[in-house]
Amino acid sequence: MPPPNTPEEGLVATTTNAATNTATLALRPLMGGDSAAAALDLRALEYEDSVDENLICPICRVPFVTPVITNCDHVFCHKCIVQAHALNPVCPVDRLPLKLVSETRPAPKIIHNQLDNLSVRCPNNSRGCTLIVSRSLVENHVARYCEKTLVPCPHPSCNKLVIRRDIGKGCLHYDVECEYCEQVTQKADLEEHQDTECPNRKTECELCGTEYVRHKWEEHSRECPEAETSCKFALFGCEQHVKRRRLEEHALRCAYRVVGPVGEQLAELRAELNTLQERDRLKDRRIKFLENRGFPLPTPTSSEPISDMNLPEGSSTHEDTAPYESRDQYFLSLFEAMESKVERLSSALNEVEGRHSMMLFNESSQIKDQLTEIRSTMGVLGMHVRWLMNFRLQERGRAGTSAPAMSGPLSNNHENIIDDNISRRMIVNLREHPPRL
Amino acid sequence: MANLGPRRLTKELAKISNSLPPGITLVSADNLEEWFLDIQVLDQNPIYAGETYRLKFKFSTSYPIEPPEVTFVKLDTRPIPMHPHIYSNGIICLDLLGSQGWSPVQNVESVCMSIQSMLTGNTKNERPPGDEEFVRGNRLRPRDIDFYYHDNTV
Ligand SMILES: [Zn+2]
Ligand SMILES: [Zn+2]
Ligand SMILES: [Zn+2]
Ligand SMILES: [Zn+2]
Ligand SMILES: [Zn+2]
Ligand SMILES: [Zn+2]
Ligand SMILES: [Zn+2]
Repeated sequence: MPPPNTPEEGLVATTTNAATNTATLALRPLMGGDSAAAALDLRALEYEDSVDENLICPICRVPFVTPVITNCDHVFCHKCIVQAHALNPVCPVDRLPLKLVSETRPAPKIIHNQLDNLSVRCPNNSRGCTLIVSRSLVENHVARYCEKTLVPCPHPSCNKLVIRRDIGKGCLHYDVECEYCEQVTQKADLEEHQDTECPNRKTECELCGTEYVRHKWEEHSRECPEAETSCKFALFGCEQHVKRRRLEEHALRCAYRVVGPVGEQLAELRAELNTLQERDRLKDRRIKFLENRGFPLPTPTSSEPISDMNLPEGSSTHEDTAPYESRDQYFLSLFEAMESKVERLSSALNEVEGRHSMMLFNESSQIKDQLTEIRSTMGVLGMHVRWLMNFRLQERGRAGTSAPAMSGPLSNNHENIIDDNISRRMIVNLREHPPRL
Repeated sequence: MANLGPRRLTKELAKISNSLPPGITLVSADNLEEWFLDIQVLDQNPIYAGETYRLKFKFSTSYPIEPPEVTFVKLDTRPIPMHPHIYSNGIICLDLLGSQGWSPVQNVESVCMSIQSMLTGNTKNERPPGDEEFVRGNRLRPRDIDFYYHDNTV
């Protein structure tokens, strides 16, 4: 175990054994098999460029994580506003009363997109992963691909963690002595100890006098100006060994200097040929792929569709510098990012749907009310019309019996009686069925 | 999320070590629990002219959700400023620092500026009523005292 003298170590020195071996605990995702991604704390990420002030949460001062927007148009991380709200149920910015459930909603999509595109460093950069990737992909990278992610030790009876790269090497949780400082660490942590902690990790090169990290001796020996190395024309027959800093000098005098440049050109051509062949093979594969899918082959003049099929920079031609081990994984990670976007879209869709059906319900219930009202008025009117028709028929029948010739006007007296009759019955009817208009 | 505080304080520290408003200087921030800052009143208020005062910030792990504990500390060259809301033991009665008046969007810089402006605007060269008694009897930490913000004219 390293001495508990660094500040971080001091804080955790009393915790369990499994957690005492690195000084970077804050960044270590809690590993529970595949749930690692869930444990990655996005608020601890280091951002590559400076982030627009508008994307910074006013509470935690880091770029938003699952931002929500309030009805008063202020944006916070979901966790931040929940914590702040528990203490004081107001908007932290303008201090207006705030109801957490009904007055906040997920921030607009454009904010999510901007956050997704921010470049972050892999949280395992303290352990040596130098990847810089957009924030939407980092969880996936750490959970599935990062060589330096801590994963459970493959040994069944060992419950410690080991970096993913070493997972094939069996249990590395046994004590070894550092050969430089005689401190005892676990094999799994030896490399990091010798990289960053070991008091004797640095040494001076005997030949050139510069300081280098001991266990990176090979790297130094490849560039040490005082180390002896073979002549650059060794391939063509020169057997001399000279110090690296005298290499240029020797090259001018080297017996093979005439053959050399020709040979160099040859090598260049050969390298070019190799890359061309590689590209050719790739194109062949692509053509086959297109043929299999039944796509119409593009004519030579329109090369656009082919270049559309190109993989993103860095994964097709520079295979060894690609951040992902293989193209499949790269696609997989893209796919996963898409998947999460689709999830977010569908949840947004659900929400919109909910809101719409609520709106529909509210409006249609009003319309229904009005409809029943109109229907009852209609009923009343219908009754009036029927009554008037009846009355009219009766009147005609009576007129037929009393004055078959219909020659003269009805007597005034008779008309008055009928009028009285109508108005009285109308009043009764109205009292029973008041029109509801 | 108990670790929100340290992370945010680290960010604040990085910012205020670079630049602070005039009249405010960072004295020390050796850890993420206790910081010291000096403040001066910049206009020619005769009560505070020529003096420098020292503020102590104490942060709990739930900062910035909870307010920091801010008091003046007394040193040979750093008196406690006269103000009807500042007790002679350095305790400041400012609603911004109470759990009701605090907002997590405040920060060390904004608190310093608020205290600065609270001094700037003051015209009464006096202590709060009952200061002696309060200072003699006070065993509580500032946050546990229930202040009454009855006098809003100062
Ligand atoms: Zn607001
Ligand atoms: Zn936040
Ligand atoms: Zn990584
Ligand atoms: Zn093990
Ligand atoms: Zn060592
Ligand atoms: Zn050397
Ligand atoms: Zn040679």
